[in-house]
Amino acid sequence: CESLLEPTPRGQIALDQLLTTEEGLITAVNGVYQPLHTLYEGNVSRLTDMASDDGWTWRKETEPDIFIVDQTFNVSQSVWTDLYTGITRANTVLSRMDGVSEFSDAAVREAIEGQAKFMRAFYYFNLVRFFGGVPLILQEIKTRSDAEQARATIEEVYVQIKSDLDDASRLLPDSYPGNTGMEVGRPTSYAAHALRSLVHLELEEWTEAAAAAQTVISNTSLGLLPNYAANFNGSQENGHTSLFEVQYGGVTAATTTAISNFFAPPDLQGGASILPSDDNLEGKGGSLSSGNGLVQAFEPGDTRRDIVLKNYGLANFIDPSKPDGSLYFVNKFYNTNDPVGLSTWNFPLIRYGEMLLVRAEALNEIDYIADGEAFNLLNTIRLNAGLSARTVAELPDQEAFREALRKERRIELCFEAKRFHDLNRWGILRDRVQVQMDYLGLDFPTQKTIEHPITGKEYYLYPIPSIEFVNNAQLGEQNPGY
Amino acid sequence: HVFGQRITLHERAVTLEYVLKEIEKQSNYTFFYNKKEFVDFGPVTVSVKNHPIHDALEKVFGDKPYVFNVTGNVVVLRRTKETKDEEKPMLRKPETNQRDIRGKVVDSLGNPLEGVSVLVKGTSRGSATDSDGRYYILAQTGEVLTFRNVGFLVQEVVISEGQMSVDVILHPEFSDLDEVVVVGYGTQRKADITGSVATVSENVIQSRPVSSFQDALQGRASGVQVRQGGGDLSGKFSISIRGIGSVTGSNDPLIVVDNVPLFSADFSTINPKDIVSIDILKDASATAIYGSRAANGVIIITTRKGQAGGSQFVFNTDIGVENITRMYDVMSTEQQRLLFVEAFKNSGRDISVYEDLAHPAWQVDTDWQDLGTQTGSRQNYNLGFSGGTEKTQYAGSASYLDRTGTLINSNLKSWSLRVNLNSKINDWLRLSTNLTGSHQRQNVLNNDSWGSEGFRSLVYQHSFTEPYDEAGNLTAINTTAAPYFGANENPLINVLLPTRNDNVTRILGNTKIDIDVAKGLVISGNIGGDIVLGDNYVYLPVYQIGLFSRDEGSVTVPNNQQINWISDLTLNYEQKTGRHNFKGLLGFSAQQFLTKNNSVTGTGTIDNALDQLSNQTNFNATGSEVRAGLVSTFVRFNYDYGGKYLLTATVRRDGSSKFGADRRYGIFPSGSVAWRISQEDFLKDAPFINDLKLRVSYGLTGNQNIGDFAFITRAGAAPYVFGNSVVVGNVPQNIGNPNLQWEANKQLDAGIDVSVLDGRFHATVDYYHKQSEDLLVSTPIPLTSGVRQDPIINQGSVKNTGVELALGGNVLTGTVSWASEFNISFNKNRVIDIGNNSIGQPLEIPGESIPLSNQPTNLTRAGNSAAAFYMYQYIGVWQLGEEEEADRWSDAVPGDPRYADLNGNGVFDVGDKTFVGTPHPRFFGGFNNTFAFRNVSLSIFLDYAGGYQVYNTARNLFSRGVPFVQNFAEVADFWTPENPSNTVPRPSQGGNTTTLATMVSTRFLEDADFLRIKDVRISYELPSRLLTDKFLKALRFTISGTNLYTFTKYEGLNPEASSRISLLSAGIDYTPYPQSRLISLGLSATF
Repeated sequence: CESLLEPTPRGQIALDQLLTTEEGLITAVNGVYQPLHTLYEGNVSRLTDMASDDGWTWRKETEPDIFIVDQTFNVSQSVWTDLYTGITRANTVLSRMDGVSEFSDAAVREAIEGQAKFMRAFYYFNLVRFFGGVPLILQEIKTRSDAEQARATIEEVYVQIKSDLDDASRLLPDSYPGNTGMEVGRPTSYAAHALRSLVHLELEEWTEAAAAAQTVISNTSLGLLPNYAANFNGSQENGHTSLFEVQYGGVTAATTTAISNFFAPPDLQGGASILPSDDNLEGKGGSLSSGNGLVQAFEPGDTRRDIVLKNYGLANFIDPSKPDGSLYFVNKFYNTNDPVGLSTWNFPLIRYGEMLLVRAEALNEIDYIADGEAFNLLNTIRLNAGLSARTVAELPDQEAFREALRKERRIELCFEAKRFHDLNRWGILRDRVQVQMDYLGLDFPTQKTIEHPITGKEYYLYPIPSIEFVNNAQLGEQNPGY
Repeated sequence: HVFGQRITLHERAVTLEYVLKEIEKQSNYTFFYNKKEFVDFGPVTVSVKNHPIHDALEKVFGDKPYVFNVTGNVVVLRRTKETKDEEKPMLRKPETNQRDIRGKVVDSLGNPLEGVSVLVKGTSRGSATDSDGRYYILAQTGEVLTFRNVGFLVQEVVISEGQMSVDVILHPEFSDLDEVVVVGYGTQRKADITGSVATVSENVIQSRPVSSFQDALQGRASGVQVRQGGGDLSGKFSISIRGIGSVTGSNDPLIVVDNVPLFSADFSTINPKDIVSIDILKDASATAIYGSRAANGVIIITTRKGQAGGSQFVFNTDIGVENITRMYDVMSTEQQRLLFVEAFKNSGRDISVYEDLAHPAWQVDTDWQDLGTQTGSRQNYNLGFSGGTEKTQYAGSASYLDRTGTLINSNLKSWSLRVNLNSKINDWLRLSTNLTGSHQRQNVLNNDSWGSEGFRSLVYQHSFTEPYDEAGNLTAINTTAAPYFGANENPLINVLLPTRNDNVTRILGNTKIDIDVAKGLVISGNIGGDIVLGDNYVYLPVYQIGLFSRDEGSVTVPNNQQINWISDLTLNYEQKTGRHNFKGLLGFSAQQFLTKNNSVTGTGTIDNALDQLSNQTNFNATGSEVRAGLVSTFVRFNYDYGGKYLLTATVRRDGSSKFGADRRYGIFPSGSVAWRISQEDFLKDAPFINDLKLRVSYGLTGNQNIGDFAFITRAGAAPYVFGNSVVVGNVPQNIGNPNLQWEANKQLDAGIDVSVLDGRFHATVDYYHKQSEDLLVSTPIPLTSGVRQDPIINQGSVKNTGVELALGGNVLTGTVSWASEFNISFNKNRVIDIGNNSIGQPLEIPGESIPLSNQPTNLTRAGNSAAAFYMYQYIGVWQLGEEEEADRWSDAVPGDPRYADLNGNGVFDVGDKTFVGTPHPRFFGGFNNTFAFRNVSLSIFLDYAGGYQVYNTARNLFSRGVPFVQNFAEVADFWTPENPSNTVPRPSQGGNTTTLATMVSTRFLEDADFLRIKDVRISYELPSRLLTDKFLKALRFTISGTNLYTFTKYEGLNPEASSRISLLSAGIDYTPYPQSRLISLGLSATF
């Protein structure tokens, strides 16, 4: 009878038992990536692209679109939760690694440690940009007090991110052979350098940013794709333009993505959760839009336009004076083969093209050089999109180049969860968004911004979920304005 | 009746009484005799084997001065006064003034009563009625005839001069003190019960067409709240006994069917037609025998057993139609258009399209609720049979149920077969077995995450969209752009095109062996099992409807198994010594549960004819298996002194796999005493009172429903992908707590049972005080912990106190009879303490958030009832002239909703939330009245509940004045400067007004008090004289109406709706499968 009382768990395993073998450790590393699935199925887009001048929404009434987020906002809470879930899993791998004595290959061990550190840095980089200084948890959580820690400063978080990325770039392989635990699609040392370049860019550490980007660019196995759509349509996944992607596959909702439906209009079974900002709407559609609409930002002849945008093909009944087919939705991720929310297309997190723009931006900030390397980098992107190269005549000084670079970045990376962070780090979020908020007579909440301690820029922060202050007495102060 | 029954006796020096009892046990004979005449009879030693009764009795009496007279199955014994040979059995010569009296005995409905014993008072002359109720007896003028029959009042008639016939109507005896009540691992006479036990009889259970036993139980027993929250055709009921004892654990009572404690919560496959009684154990004295699973009460279901005697067949059928009792009153297209105009004006947007009356959208007015619903039907056929001999009895049934739902494309079919066999193998060995097999097939609708079963989509969609094109094909909207018109799908696509089957196959049964080891000592072994196999099938087809398309089909085949085995060994000992009666029970039990879930999904077919897994090209599979076990020892001791002072003591020790090695065992003791005052000398002969009993009990029971393996830190699945291949991921999913132990429930119960006027009226009152301690609370930890499950710890307590009253009686008897049963229960629930959070404040556990507002409606906090409603208080609409205050308060403008500033800080913030109600009724109960006149009876059953609220989520979503979804008609009266409504705020689309209008507030919290005409039934029993055909013994026709009308102020579809299973989110109405009204015709034939 005693045996009845001690059944062995089936299909699940005690953690202590799992983390004693290489195989178990590899499955634990795989789990570190899994929060990416939910983060990039819409929630991060809501906090970034919707909160930027690129996107607007028509239905939800409490979205960041008009910056009326409060400290119980469920989307920022979900993002916070998913990011820390990834960190906990990375910490568990790192804390338990030493318990595994035998590895099939030293490279496997290094790759495991490198991936855990890379992912921890990736998650903290998102946390610090959304929420500012956050609790810096670096150990496995064994009791509730392990999770109850005070907020670190923004500087402290970046010290940790850089340290993890240093380790990761040293530990991670340049490429993966493809066997179990070493599958293609895991971050390489180049991905670590690429992420490092983004961190430096955020902190306006131009020289380091340029150098890290250069390390990636100089890898000749990487390059741009002639067809912009192939970056998103599943045809070139983990290919030579890819540095880091959210990997989707399989057939069920658990491992596929609904981002296709997130952007698609209801007539195509989507949610049209974010629509492209459009000057033609003049604020008349659902919520705010326009004044600096993305739809109008494309230059004539830009081959990316029809990939990013698609029109409804309808008469513009909002304003009959506007031409037919002037209402648009985001088409970039719309997977026509998978209209039911089970798309297997990967979501790009860092692409080769961004590295060109990072280095171009950093070089220009270091010093404007007419027809210098920065021009070449910018024009590589433009020529690939069917546009003409920018000349010194068009961009005679640093400021003009900066504007052109920022515009190119906006188009090339639109709806890839970049724009909000860019506007924020450039300190121009308020200016860009206020144009749209004017339509509703609303003011950008400047009381919810800080002066960034490293760059000194005006920096908008999301609230730390209010429930955390109840469940963690050590946490400290809420972000200002909430 | 079986004549020529044979008797076997091997007794040495026992009392006459014992011998006679033994004969009664082995046969159908009943003895009548005057005890005083037999006081000096002396010990009996007898040995007969398989002898007829005459021979056996000759042996017993030998040549002692006694005579016996066998008539039918009645044996009358008498001492001879004169010479012993004066009266030989059966050879008495009539005295001169004696004559043959004849007559007929019938019941109050005029049905003949068979086997009624007829005695001439003070003599040994006796007789019994035949199957026509007729009898003959020798008697003389002035003598008294006594008529007795079990379950009827004794009737005496004095024979008058010249009278030759005496016809008698026997009236039922109401006292149920000798009724047997099923308690755990045994039965007890109702009179001897010391705990609080309610019984629902077969009559009540079978009185109307029901979908499950929970349905039959609703309103019938005090202290038992059955709430039908909605659900699909298989029903979605929750049962709670004496309030809510557990906050995060389960509050479901333990259900035991024929000695098998169930594990699966799927009850719809238990055929209610097979049930003969439901006994509800409420206080700790009654439940403690089930130890760690008893804290929420125990419901014991007993199924039909065979009876010795001729075989009997009963055929029952009912056929009925069902309609939805209530639908939502939604806006017309024109009203919706005006709403758009006003909302967009208020939100500062262009309104030209909405003012264009020629726009095609405004020409359509579709009633989606009508299109998606239909008149449902219900047919049930049930054939039951029973019979047997002295040695072996059997019973069985075959049943078929076919229901068509009130939502289109939903239906249910159910088949069940059952057999029961009881056999007396020999003098010391008895065997009984029950076995039921059932199969249920159901077509269900899409279940959204809030369990609305597809109905909500019919409410949500705009009326200005078309369901079908000119050719009659389903259509989808492609003439308007959704961001400008809102929700424009065709809900019928999802209702009609996919296939969703839920199939359940169940085998439930047990086999029990009783061995008489020695006098008074019985050893019993019981093996039982409950196997529930679910196989479901979902096919999402390929289609292209307008712009709506699915290019690839998908098949999902989930399978689940719930296998539950139990084996019990019990020893029962019974001894009577003078006025001291002892009963003891010692038992051992081991039970194992296995839950296995597998699901395979395949996609890729492009042809709807190829809709099986093998036709797909891409696959995904998941699976899990969990085992759990329970090993127990239990002891019960009953003692009574002269039936006057009664005592019960119970202890159970449970070992459970749900807890770590150090906390695995729990001990659950209880004790109770009762005093039957009516047995005291000063009341014994009181003509008025026939039972008066005081009871007090106290005990400890447990709750272990917390899921499996919560005590260890587990790695859970977290699959990821590389390339397009899914890889296994494993991640920590909880923080294990090795110190986890049982929830303890301490309950005090004090009760009084009264029965007066030969049991014609009875009443039971109970007071209870239940305190649950060491609650299994899942305590929130920071989200920074990165695990999805909050750790479960033992912390805090919840108190339930209450009073239950059950009254009943036969107000009128005779030709016109009226029986009435009433019960009411009051319960008060208080969370005493659930610990503190990290910052030292009392822990608060919020319920689930309501969509759109993303705010919870319920909050569990010490000092209030569990899951009490906690929200803003709606106090109307900001009016013109209040601009300044409104702006300061929350950037509001006139027309915006206004909430009370409860913390008085002049600003709208979370500090303005307050406790505003409770989802748990303060009182509830049922009231049944049955009237009978000759062969017609009418019964009216009401149930009710009061003192609680329900959160009308549908209004929170559809009465906000936000036009992108269809709005309810009430919104048409929205605020404008010209129509300064103080109830309906101004419409809006986005912005601050919308945010304010979406808030969870008392605006959508409604009193849900209700009184429902649950069932009205008229039945007609064909008079037996019309049943000339011997084949047919009885025939009854019934017409009944269920859920005929509900008196309530609640504006939703059903004041009992509660969409969430979790207690923490109780009382949220999220538009479940609508309640329906059933009108049915029934027929019952016995042959």
